[in-house]
Amino acid sequence: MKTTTKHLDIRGLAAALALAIALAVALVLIGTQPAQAQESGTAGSAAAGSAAAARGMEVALEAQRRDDGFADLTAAMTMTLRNRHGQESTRRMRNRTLEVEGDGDKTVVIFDQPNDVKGTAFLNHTHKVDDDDQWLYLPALKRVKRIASSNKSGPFMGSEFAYEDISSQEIEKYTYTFIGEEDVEGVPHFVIERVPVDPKSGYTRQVVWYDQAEYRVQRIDFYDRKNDLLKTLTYHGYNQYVDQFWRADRMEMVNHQTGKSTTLAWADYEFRTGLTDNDFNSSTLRRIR
Amino acid sequence: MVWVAGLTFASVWAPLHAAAQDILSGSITLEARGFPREALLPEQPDATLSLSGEPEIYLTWGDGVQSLTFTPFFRLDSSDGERTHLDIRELFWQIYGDSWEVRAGLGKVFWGVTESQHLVDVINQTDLVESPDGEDKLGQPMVNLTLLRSWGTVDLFVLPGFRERTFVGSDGRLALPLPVDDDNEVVERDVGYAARWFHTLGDIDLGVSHFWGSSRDPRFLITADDGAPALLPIYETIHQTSLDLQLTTGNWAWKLEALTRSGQGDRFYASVGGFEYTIGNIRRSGADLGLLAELNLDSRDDIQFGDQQVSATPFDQDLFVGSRLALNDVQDTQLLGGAVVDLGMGAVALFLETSRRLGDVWTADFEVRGFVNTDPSGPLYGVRRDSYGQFSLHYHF
Repeated sequence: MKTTTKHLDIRGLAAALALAIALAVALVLIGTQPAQAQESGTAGSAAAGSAAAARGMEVALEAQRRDDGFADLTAAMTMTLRNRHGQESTRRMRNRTLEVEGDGDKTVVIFDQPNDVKGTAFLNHTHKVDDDDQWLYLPALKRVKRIASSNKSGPFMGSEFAYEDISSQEIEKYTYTFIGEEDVEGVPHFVIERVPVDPKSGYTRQVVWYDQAEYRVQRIDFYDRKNDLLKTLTYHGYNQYVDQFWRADRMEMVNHQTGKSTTLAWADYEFRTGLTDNDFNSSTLRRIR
Repeated sequence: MVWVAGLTFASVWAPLHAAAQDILSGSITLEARGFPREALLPEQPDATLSLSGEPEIYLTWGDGVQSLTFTPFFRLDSSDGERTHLDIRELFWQIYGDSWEVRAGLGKVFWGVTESQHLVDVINQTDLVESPDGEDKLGQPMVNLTLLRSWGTVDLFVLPGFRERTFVGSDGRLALPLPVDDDNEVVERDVGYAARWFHTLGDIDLGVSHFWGSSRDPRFLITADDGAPALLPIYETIHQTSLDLQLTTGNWAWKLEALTRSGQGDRFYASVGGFEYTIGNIRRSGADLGLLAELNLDSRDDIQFGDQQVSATPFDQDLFVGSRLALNDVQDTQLLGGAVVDLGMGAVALFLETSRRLGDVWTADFEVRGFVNTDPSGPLYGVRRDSYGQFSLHYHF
């Protein structure tokens, strides 16, 4: 008798759980529909807007066109985090990136320092509009964990770089307005304002300086949700690789509101190393070093 | 003494590791536990100190395609002779090609998605003396072939050699209610086999697995070991088919693990499912807050044990609720707390885990586990006086 009731209980609860999950899935699916409609609506009206929008988009597209076809790259990253008292701490990572036709890039970041996170790997399949797909490999447990990626505005490794700052910069993630031309230390620049499409972005807008000669990003001002200037990112020591692709040796991010700053130094750039899709598969995180 | 040993060890390792950073890494941990309530048995201590280490040696050649990983582990415990132990967590050779990987040796494998219980994670035996949370695993002899295909990843395992679970000795806290007779254990099969298919379909990560071999969690018989009653672990041959599923969308991660197992009495079913909801960058502070809830179910009937009915599993009908706070600061401060409530008996297991980095090479963590409202027929009854606080200091090299 007892056995029967217990089995029924369990099945009832299991059914309730399954129903709850199904309902939640349905709710989430329904919930995303209007959001997408709204996004394309905003993009549509901005594009159709003014000549400034069209020219802003032109600059962004030209910058992207010049970086098309890099196929894949590997690089070493050193982050130096500085608080307002000048105390420093260092993070060392290695970056592997795969260019994906028609979608956002795939990136894996392998952590080497601090020692306690050594061997941890962060895999990101970025998308042009949708949320990125992200996995974390935790070497102590040998566990690959899919993580919620909606937190774009949070800090990366305690630094002044947010996840959205280091993620693949796709054209579709912003709407653009041409602000003007400006000479910075005698070098002519285009100045573009871009507004993140995603309402979960930490920024209302960004102002981007491109040098006119090579369409390289030289500076970005980030404005927070209250439209106050939050951070400035500057790019230093551009080098050209495989006769086409420009990459900065050093990126300096300064937070004007907290006085903290982060230097991100890049080294050992290699392009077209022959990485494949399987090197960016969540299953192969187990072998990554 | 242990302190001095630890510091000496650290100072010897530091220069060594600078020379061989890519080959040698790992950690050394000093752990102190305090138990505020009086023990059930006079020989059980109120406080323990222990030292453990897990160095890893990694050698690679052929442009990283082949590698050898060696990860020994040791613990020296001030009171429990069973907790003082040595293990080889990993000692395996690996080779991979464009769409395949082979591993052979002692290794560690993790399957699953949930937090309150790792229900479908069956390859490795639990090193239970390490922590009652069961997350520490013994190295498992294996040959593992991985095939990467457009329709998913297939993992095939041959598992020669069975490892018995480790149990806290009766002179240690967090012991089972009776001493474990680990000299006469029954192991039905030494060789196991397993297969797994895993695939990502957009927002869904899905795994389906089958395992055939001796069960990693034993059933117990009460026997007389030299006249005194003791628990005899029996590791029966099981067939276990399992599913693990996660749907990750927006701030939500919906998780489900389910299995069916035959070979330990009647075939039974068990599942754990729930969600983790993450609120990112709270008030622009950079901190993330995660809210977790999972329901654990198991169709096994209570078992007759001596003169009473007891649960066959700690997770027969249990609700886990918890919260995770990550400050995302330079020190990587994290906090995870929660409760597992037995919906049948009302017993509650509470826990809080916090961790923080100190400087560049040290981390500290503090952990509290409490066992409240325990019932004589419940799995927590044996540890009803063993609520504890634990402080650990880790040196990473």
